[in-house]
Amino acid sequence: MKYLFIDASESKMTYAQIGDDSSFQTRIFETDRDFASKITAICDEMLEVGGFTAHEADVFVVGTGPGSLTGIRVAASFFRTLAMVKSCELVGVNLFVWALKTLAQAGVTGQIKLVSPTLIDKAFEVEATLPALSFEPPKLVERSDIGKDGVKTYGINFSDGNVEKIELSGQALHDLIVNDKTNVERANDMAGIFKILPFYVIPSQAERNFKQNNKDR
Amino acid sequence: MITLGVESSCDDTSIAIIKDGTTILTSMVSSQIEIHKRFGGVVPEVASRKHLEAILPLLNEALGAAQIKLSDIDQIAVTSGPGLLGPLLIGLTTAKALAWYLKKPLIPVNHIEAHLTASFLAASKKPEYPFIGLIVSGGHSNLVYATGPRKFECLARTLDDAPGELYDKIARHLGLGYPGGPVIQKEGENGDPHRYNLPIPMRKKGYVFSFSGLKTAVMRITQQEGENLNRADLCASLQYVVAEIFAEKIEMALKDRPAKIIAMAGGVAANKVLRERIKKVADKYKVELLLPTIHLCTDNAAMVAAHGYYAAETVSGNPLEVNAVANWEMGEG
Repeated sequence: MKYLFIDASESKMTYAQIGDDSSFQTRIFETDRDFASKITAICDEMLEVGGFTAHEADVFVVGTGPGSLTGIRVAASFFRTLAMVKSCELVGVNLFVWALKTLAQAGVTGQIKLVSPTLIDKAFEVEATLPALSFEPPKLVERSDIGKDGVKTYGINFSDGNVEKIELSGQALHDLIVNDKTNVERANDMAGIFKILPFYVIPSQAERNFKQNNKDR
Repeated sequence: MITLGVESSCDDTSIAIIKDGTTILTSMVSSQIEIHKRFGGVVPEVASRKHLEAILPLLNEALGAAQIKLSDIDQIAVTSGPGLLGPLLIGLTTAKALAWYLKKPLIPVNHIEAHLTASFLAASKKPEYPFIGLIVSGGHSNLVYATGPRKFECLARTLDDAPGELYDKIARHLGLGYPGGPVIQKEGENGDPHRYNLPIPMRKKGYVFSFSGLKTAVMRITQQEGENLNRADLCASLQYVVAEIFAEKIEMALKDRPAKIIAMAGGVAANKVLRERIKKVADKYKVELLLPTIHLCTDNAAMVAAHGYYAAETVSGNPLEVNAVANWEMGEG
């Protein structure tokens, strides 16, 4: 199974991975908020590294967040379109699952928390009990409250005194893409492809204001 | 030559397929207007989200409607500016993916230039240069002299609000709803256009538009009139004045520049009062007036495909590396 993965959830850099059943290679590209203009060049470079063409790829895989919504949307637009045109499988990997798999493969067990920053003062937080990769939908928490309850807390693209930053593992991602049928989103038809979208979307200011105003009424 | 057009610069997702620049095989629009109504205007974040959801089903539907396979498409034209960045990126990236995978030429299109091409598309004819172009919409108010597919001399632009923006603000002020243009037109249908004496800003002051003074004047009238305000008359008076503003500047342009065509475009070009007034100018100067059909006035991908068809040879650099440009001026590289 030949695959190409891109995660653009971090606004300054883009993580790309290409592989087949037995091996994979990764690259980090400094995209510095210019991912949209570099996406085809990144794909070209990765395919050259992988030694196959886009037409020979079996699966396109996209990081669905959380993170930079613009980057995630651009990557999703690109890969959703490719999957539709090629009528091939599209896989969506959210970063919480990837992080949990990374921790599980590193031998971490038991109850942990994962956080991913969003807005200025908030973060998405999930609780999990490793080695299981399942979790409830994330809660939106104040950043100032993170890591204060004694539960070991890991951050995605984020660290502070109470939070240890995770280096997401290429091997963990590879295993999710190649072997995992339950913890990643897999779409094999048009209807499924249309449903692979950014994983966690927080309401815009206008939506929050609208909701608040209507609640007040 | 089959051109696929992709448009997502604001709150309409649109896909079109046209043949040889003049024949629309299909043009589909997924409008978000009902979604944004509640906010009183377009929310870029919400628009981006909705574009992403809508664009592929629409592409699939358009291909089916035109009975075209992706392999039949010769080139892909996409709006890459001006507009809202987040929404623009969805269409642009979708088009890039198609062009990259299918190895077809990608033509980044200026949305405002494309609006002018819509007038020619509606008449099923190729653009004939030179012509006087008027683009009037929620974000634009440009009078241009066009001498080629990407050659525009900007004669006049607004110093402040665009006419569509003016209509939106006044409609909101009068409690008429959103978008402003259609509701003001409807309200003013049976109104007296001479009842309220609104000023004509920048009259006899050369090539420049200004609408904020008009907005202030309307606000003042509503305050003065209070319960006696006749909204129908006010809407009719407002449309009359806006039409006069554009008629005057177009007359100036026709005296200054050789042209046999006036092409009008943009959402506000759907306004009946404006269309009738500019028709009188065209008749007076014995020039042809090209007006897009109503569905080609608003944002659509057919105009993008058509403009891409004519502007294809002007594309320079690697279009796959193009980024969305929120404030891309007409005629710029």
